[in-house]
Amino acid sequence: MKVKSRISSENLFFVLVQTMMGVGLLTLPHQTHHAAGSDGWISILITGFFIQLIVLLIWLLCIKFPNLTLFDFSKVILGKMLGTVLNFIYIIYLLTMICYIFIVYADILKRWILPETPVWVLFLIEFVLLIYGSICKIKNMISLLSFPFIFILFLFFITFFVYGDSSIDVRYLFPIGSSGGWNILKSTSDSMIPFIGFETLLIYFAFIKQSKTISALKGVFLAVLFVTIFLTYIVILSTVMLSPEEIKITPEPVLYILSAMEIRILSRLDLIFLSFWGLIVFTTIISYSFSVSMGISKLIRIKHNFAVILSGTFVLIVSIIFYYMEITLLEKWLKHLSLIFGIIIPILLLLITIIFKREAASTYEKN
Amino acid sequence: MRKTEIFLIFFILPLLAGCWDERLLKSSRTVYLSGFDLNENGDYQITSIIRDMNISESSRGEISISNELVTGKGSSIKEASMTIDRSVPGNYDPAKGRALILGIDVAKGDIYNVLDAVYRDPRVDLNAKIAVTDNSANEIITHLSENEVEKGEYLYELIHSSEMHSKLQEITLRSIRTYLFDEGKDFMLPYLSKDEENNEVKINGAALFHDHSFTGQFLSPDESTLLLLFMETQSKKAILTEKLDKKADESVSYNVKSVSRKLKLEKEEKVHADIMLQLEVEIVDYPPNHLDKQEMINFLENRLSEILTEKADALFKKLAANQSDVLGLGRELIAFHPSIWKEIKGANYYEHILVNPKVKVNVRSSGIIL
Repeated sequence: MKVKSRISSENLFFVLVQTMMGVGLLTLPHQTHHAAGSDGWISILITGFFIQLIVLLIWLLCIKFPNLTLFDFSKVILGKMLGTVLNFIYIIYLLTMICYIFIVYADILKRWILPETPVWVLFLIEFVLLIYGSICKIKNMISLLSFPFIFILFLFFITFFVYGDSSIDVRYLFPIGSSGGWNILKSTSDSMIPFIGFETLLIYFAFIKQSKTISALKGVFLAVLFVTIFLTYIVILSTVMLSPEEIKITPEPVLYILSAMEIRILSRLDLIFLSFWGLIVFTTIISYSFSVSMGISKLIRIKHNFAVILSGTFVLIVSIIFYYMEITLLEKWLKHLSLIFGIIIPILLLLITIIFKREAASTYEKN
Repeated sequence: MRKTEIFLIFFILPLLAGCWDERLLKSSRTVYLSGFDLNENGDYQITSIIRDMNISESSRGEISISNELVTGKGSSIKEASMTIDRSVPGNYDPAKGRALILGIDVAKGDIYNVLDAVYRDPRVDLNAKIAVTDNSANEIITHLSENEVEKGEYLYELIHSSEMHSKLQEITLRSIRTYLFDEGKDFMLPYLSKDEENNEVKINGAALFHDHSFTGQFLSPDESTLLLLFMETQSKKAILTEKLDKKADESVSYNVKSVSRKLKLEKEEKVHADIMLQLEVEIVDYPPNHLDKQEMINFLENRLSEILTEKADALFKKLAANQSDVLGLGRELIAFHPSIWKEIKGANYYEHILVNPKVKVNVRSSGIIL
């Protein structure tokens, strides 16, 4: 089934930036520090470069099947049976991601600003917004996702207030490379988590105009570049502000730093940051749930809107169960999941396509 | 379609009100100033000033402010604050405190014991100032509650203005944590004492810390300004006064405009730190003479350089005696000389460092007259 709507390369830029920027942003400096010490920013840069390559591979895979999403071309590549299985596990994976975002978002809000509010209220808000944002055509979703880009820039500007602090010490970044090349490389697998979101390209590439020209890639490359630079900036900022031992015991360094900043009329910048960040998390949720609903509607042949409600309900129930049962399974597996679904499976698909010369047109002739 | 969207929006509205987390001003007892003490049997004592707003019904809603002094004891800070909570009507809410005072016994121990509870609370104002007293915090706060109207604000402003004049290192509740967890850096906090003669609380200088605890020594305001200059973290104003000649009673005041520091670390028997400090100063007060001749300027520059080098020598001897690495030489070693650091690292690394300061003063301006 070919998709009919078309989006431009610029649209894809916004969609991808919004999908990639998400819950990982706040905890990132803590995680990279855990893995690579003060060289966390190098590890982010390397990961960013690495993601560019992966994105290129995903593009190479997708142009073989113009205007088909992952959920369609998986059947072409692997056959009907295996393809359906792959679609199913991709749907499960995407739903898991939404659950993870739900839980982290609720958890951070609960710890930072709403300690008394029951968690189900937060989940319900997320649920309603998920449905509100995803019941639409891709065109509507893109306009919904493009505007909040402004809030990412806001986040960026809010961090400027930090520079007035006298305890900033650039020496925390030195000695560069102290953790050793191998450790930095190893830590790239940890710093991949904030980049998760690029795998939705497997779906979005189907919508792009003239996907075969290199200009289709432009938006994607810029998006990955933008996210890499932003994350590197956040990591460097936190490393410079907090001493190494301190980052180790501060799970959300960015918020912690901002909570101490005071400008004339506001004494808690972290609250402003959190509210902007909330919008950015929602765009991630919407983008994911839009993709997953597309998969569900194709898998069991129901309407998109119904699929949205179905996936939303599923996510709501699962995340409430996970939250109250205190299951932290997701966090542990996240790294491996994203590695499998974002990198390994697309590469395998690409290899199969090349070796067995699968093409979109040939299968359609057969049908 | 439109209908579902409108329905969703209306559905979400009651949830967004956030009534669960409302905290009414009338039911919470806001703390403006707290102090921590440690008594002989290892119990912590918190002394706080709570500000109350009374809206009187009789005189047309006129607001009157009253202050209440409360104390509580407990084996941990949280327990002590729960004791206070039980003794006051309403919720004891330490989040708004603008200043914290550490009694001398607390400061001499590990001060992180006291601060830990503060960092775990997301609502605490991390911009609060911290000070050390030469006595118990209780005494200072009792004094403040009797004599000053603004209490917490008073202390905050007192410390803040000293920081503005480069008499103290700029430290807030947030940045102190950075120093506490930094193996290669120490810090200094305002050192308060009660002046019996004038019956007021004043800042005596800067209390030197080593690792997590107060060394017992403090720097005079002038010494701490000089140290801040060596750290290149002085504020916009850093006015110093030197006596040029002991007998003639000639003195000069100058404001340091800018600083440039050259630091060289070399490992010999000990780690030698040669620090060359260049100060660009503006003469703000020099009644005995005028700066219309080049010789006069040269004389002043040489004399000031000499005096400051001497003072810096004494200052670094004092720091070495207390092993207080406020300058952050340890961090410098970690960052740029990791091999040297590996040899000397440990709790008392400052023993291995020998500082050799040198100051050069350049007179750049003299106000609107010569």
